[in-house]
Amino acid sequence: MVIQREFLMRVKKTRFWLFSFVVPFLLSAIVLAPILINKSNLTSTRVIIFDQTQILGDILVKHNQNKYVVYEEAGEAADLEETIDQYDTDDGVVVLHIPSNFIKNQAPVVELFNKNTPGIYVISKVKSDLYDIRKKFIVYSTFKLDLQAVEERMNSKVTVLFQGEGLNPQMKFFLGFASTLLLYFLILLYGTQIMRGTLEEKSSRVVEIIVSSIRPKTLLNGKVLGLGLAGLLQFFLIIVFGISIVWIFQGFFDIETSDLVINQFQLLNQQGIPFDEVQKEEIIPLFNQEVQNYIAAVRQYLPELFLVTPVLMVLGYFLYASFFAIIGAAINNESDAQQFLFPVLVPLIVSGFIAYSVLQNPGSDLAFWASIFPLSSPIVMTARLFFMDLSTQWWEVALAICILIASTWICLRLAAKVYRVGILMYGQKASYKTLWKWFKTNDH
Amino acid sequence: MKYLIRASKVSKTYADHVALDRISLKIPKGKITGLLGPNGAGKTSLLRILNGIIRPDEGKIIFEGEELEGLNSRKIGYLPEERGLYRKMKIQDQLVYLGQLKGLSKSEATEKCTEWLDHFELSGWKNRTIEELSKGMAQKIQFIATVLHEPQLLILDEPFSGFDPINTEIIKRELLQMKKNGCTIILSTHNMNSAEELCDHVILLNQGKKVLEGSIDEIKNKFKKNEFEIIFDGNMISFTNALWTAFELIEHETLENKSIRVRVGATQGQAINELVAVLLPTCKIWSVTEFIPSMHEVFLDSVGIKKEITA
Repeated sequence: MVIQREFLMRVKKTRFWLFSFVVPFLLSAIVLAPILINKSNLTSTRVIIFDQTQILGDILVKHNQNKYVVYEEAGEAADLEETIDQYDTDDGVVVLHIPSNFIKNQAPVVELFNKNTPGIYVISKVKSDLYDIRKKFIVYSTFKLDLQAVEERMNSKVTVLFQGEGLNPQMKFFLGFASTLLLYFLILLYGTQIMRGTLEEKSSRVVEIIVSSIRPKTLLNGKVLGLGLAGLLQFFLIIVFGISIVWIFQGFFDIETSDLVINQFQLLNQQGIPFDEVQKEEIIPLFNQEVQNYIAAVRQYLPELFLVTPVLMVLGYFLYASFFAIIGAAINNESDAQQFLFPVLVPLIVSGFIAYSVLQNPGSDLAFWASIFPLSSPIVMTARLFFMDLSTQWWEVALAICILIASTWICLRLAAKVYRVGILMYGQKASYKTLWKWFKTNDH
Repeated sequence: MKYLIRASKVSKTYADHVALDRISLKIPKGKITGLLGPNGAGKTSLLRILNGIIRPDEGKIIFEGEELEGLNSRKIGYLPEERGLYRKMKIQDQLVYLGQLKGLSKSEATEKCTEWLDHFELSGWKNRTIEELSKGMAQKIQFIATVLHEPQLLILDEPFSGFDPINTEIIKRELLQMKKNGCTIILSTHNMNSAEELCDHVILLNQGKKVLEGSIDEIKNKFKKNEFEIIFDGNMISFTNALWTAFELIEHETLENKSIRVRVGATQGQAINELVAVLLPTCKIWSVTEFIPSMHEVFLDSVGIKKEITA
């Protein structure tokens, strides 16, 4: 009944659903908004090339088109002035003048003529295209080499073979990081809810009525379980809503997967040069391959994801929940909580730092000991799990879980002892000495 | 007399403070027992022990012939001194929840809840939260939460504290009705008038020890001092001479209508008849009354003299 009440009280609140929906919505918006803005801003621009080199214009038209920049060559007989005058009234057209000394000149200059100042995207694209063509042309005319072929050979990836499973450490990092983050927030958000819930029952004085009906231990366990279940439901909802929102947005705003990829590359590219169609075609298969790899990684780690990680999560949550319950029972208002919260939050925060370092160096001594020590093991072992070979290192996980079970059991018993005395102590400001006294009180 | 509870040599100590010191008592079945005593006397500790919320360090409690082990929530209703309800939970939801915790099924709890809300004319508020109710309404809801599961024993710690006079009367009426229906009630109170009005049996605690136990009449008789008030017309000297050595004059005053009121004490425990007999020849008697102490006086007297008497 207590589990049901604690669970339903959270789940029935509008805030619960709002949070479950708003968080993935905001996260999706952060990813999708720049793409939408980018897409809505970019219109197609015709670039009329007045080419005095007689070579480059033709290459631009044949190889460098995309749907935002359309290269066209000006008529052969036209002179520059006439061409500029011809397109002067048209907003979507710019005239590109490539002078005859463009290739030979040490500081090559081209000119863009437009009714208004041309957009930064058009300028960037023209600059990038001409730089590329000029470079290839010089290499070919000087060394008689095909630069593209040379670059392809030069840019071949170096593969590092390493022992262990063949999966990319990046995938392992992703899985470890996501699981750790989930546990971290489960402990922090719902642990503080236990503290607040206990404090509310204490300050509203309903607790004495409750403990005249059920044992304080039952109340505590029900509270921890009910809130834990609400927490798991909330994370499940966040994931489901998150995926649904991205899916709906993609369909509604016609965002292709490639737009997402390109946007990410664009963000990384300091020059802000968008990828053209050719590059897009190269990247999308790579991206799809990455997605396949992530799916393969999740499949490969199913036992860890659905067996070990939940056990670590549940035990970790119970362990820290017992501390938060003690704090809730000891204090009379939230401002009293500071002195007790600090020692609980410190191991939690330090575990977070260690977990991040472990994700980058999973074989260190720190990684081993921190994944065994009960206060840090739930978070650190969750992070390290995906880098371990369970066929040989299973004993480390088993040892960590056994120590964690023992510690959680001791802490929950300790919490129950302090809790049952603390919840009936109104107005008395608790100190660590008082907590110890409560622990020693033999009531039941 | 049948007893619902028999407590034997119950002790409870918190750190260095002795809250209860080898207390033995009996709670008569179907009666209202008042647990009286100054602050810190150990009343709340005793009530929590009877309730099973805390366990005594020593001694045992026999409830209906069986030793009380832990909670007996289905049979006991408890209204603590420090009380309240969930502020943001709907009235009906929390009454049903508390009823379920006491062992009722959901349908039983809902049915009883509807009956009680109707009884107190609060049905229209069942979907509101405690925050939205007046203090008086909240007090009634609190009372419903205590009696919803129709307990055999009702334990009320300072039930009238914070209640306005109207609600106090309503609750008193309900308690008397429950007693009529066979419920045993224990209430701790500072209010001696309420104790005198409601209780059949009282237990007085002081500094963790039992000072008094018995029915109201027994205790009052135990504390009466054989003092009488007489109003008469006549001569004060003749009156005094008539008292002779059997009675002593404590105080006297002349009233507006020239009658005299005197207070006399019987030195050797003489009865009211003997007093009337010696006075009849000397004066015209308007009234003779024996002084019976109020529970308030008994309380002060007992706590003041700290003398252990078992009635």
